[in-house]
Amino acid sequence: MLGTALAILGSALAVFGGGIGSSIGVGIAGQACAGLLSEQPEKFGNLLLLAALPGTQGIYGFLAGFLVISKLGLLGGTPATPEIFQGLQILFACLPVAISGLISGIHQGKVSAAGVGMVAKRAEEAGRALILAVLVETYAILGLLATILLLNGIKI
Amino acid sequence: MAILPMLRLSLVGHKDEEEEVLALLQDLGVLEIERINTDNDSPLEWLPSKISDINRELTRIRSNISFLRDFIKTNGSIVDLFVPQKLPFTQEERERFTREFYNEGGYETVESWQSALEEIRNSINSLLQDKELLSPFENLNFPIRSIKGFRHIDVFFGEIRKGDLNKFVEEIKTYLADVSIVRETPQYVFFIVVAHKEISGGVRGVFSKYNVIIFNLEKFSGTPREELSSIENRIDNLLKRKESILEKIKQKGEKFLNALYILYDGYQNELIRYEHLGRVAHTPNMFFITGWIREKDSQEIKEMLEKRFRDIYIVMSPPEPDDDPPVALENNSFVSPFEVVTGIYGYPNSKEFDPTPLLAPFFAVFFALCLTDAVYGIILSILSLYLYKNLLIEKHRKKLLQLLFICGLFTIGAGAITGGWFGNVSEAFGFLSSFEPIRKRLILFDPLKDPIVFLGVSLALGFIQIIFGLFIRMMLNLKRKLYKEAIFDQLFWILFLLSIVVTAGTLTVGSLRFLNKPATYFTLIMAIALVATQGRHQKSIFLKITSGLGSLYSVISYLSDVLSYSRLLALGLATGVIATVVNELVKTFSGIPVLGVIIGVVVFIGGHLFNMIINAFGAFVHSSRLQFVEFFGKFFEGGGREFNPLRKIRTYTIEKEVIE
Repeated sequence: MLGTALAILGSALAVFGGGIGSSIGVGIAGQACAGLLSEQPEKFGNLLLLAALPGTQGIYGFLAGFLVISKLGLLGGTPATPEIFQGLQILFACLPVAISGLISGIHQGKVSAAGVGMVAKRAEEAGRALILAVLVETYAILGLLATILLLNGIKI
Repeated sequence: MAILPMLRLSLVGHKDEEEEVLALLQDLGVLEIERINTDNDSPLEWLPSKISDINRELTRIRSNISFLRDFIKTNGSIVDLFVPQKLPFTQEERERFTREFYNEGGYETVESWQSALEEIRNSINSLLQDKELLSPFENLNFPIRSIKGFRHIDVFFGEIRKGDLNKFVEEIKTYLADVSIVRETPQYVFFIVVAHKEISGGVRGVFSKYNVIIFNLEKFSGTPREELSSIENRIDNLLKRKESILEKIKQKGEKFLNALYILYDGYQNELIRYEHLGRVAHTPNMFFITGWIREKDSQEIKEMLEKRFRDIYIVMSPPEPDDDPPVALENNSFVSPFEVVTGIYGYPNSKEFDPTPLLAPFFAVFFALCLTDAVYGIILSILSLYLYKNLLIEKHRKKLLQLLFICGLFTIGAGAITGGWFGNVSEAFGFLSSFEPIRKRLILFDPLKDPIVFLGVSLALGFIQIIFGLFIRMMLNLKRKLYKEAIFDQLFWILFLLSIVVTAGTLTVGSLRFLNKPATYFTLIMAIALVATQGRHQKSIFLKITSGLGSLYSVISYLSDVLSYSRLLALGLATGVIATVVNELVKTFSGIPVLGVIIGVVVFIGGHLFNMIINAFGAFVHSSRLQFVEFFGKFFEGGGREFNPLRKIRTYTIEKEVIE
């Protein structure tokens, strides 16, 4: 049963690592947006995208968490009972997405907030501001990818 | 194809016709006017004051609009939050609305409403303050005038905290003044103090010691009750007046607002036109315009201008080598929506070519792979088609919708081959199980079961796009007669990268094993060729070799470029997994009796809508990034300026003729 617990810990880490990263990131970007919206409410459409962008890390974390849950068969049917070492493997496999999501979410939020400054002066630059913020996200994606591939390789 | 050739158009004419020429050019919207800097210009003296007149008019209209807007309910939808829609008017309607507005004294009426409402609001506020002053003393049954204006005595109306009352009264009494309590509330006591004028200074000192609030009732004369009821009456009257003004606004406001929108857009275009006059050079009798025109428009426009104006002379010539003409793109109807993507990065410079047709198929496929859900694709296509038909904005701003429509169609295909139909909807819900065999038959690979296949597809697409980018660079160099660069920097790299992949292929696929030796040798030859040529800019033979060896390190950067395409897998999986989670949730909820179905439907619609929007957005930005960083980096320079002719720009309205 310890194996299952370790695997669940991995799943939980993935979800809350990405979740924390995204909440801080969206928080930073959202505050910047709110500031601008009070002056220029017509830019809501552009800003919503910038504020939402750091939210993807949370989704990636959740996705990894879900993959673990479905691997363990916790959603229905007979749950798998991994050995302790298999549980540890799953736990470690979750770390890339958990940590890269946590950190890249925060930094993406900062880049998005800076992008809000760009949009404030020139609304037509919104696309470029988005692309700059997306550059940060690459590393969360690579983290997720590593997690997916590792999970895929672990046999229970 | 793609980047339209531009001609420099120079135009000389007589000053009398200048404004008409400019007005016609603005209507046509074909000429970007360049500023002429010359020392012996004789500028139009009346222009600055004309421009400031127009600006004043615009400010007046804007303040009228912002006042009226609050009262007129528009049937705004959620779409307006993102894209404010414009009101369609025909030319005839524009003229009618404007005429009626002026005939009915529109500005004065709107401004009189505004000032009347302002005044009413202020009056009501001050009456409410009076009411607050008086109401504690409501019970006094003598008129206030009877206790003011004494020669030797001051009368104070005040309020004090209950706890301080006893000490306060004691202290006041030492001054031989009189305190009478009028009213008590649980916390405060209201009182009247009567004191001789000679001691009132001391009494005031006591007031401030105990933080007493003094009410100034000087302006009242009747009994508090009389005064209060007169205040109530006046407030009622004011509210009635307000109602009648609001009623008038309801009747005429919308008409006026429309007229104001039309006027605003009209003046705005006048402003643009006069500001362009500042770019034109003048002699005492002549004016001189120079600018850029699309070659395809040029002949027609020249003839039109020459026919319409007598004293006009036009010359057109292709750009000189050191000119920097603006860039206008033209593509067929499949490619042109993708100009949105190119536009985000920035336009190509005038000596380049338009990358839009080259990125279009990649973008559509990448978008589709990121979204990978056939039903989402269907919804996206239908939604963007619907908005395209119904959204009241200029046509050139609807390209994004066309783009989403095309990408939606591609997504249907990508969803079908990966088995995404609202995630696994036919597998999850029993009543849809008859569709399951069809879904299964269409699947080429299931991203959840074998992500490695999906990863392979993503990386392969990336490899193809990167090689394609290098290939474009090679063709460019050949066209510019830079043969050395084309062969050494691109062809060799293409062959080297291809041979690495082929060699790797021969190692993994058993039946190709016999090719392994030749492939390996070929790779080595290409590596040596690169080492031999990449250091060719260095002077000494030693540096030539080391920098040639160092260049092999670029393999890493190509590798990281290819790996970047793995995001297609991650985003594609994200859509599928979240859709599956939504379905699982719905199944859980549907176990609840009675309410379960309702909750299930709500969760199903909300969940899938959320998933679709978030992932379509992700698909858009990540597909764009792959074009900008990985693909454009290989060949694209950019830095072009978008063609921006003198034309009509409208903020609030749109020409009805254009939509219909």
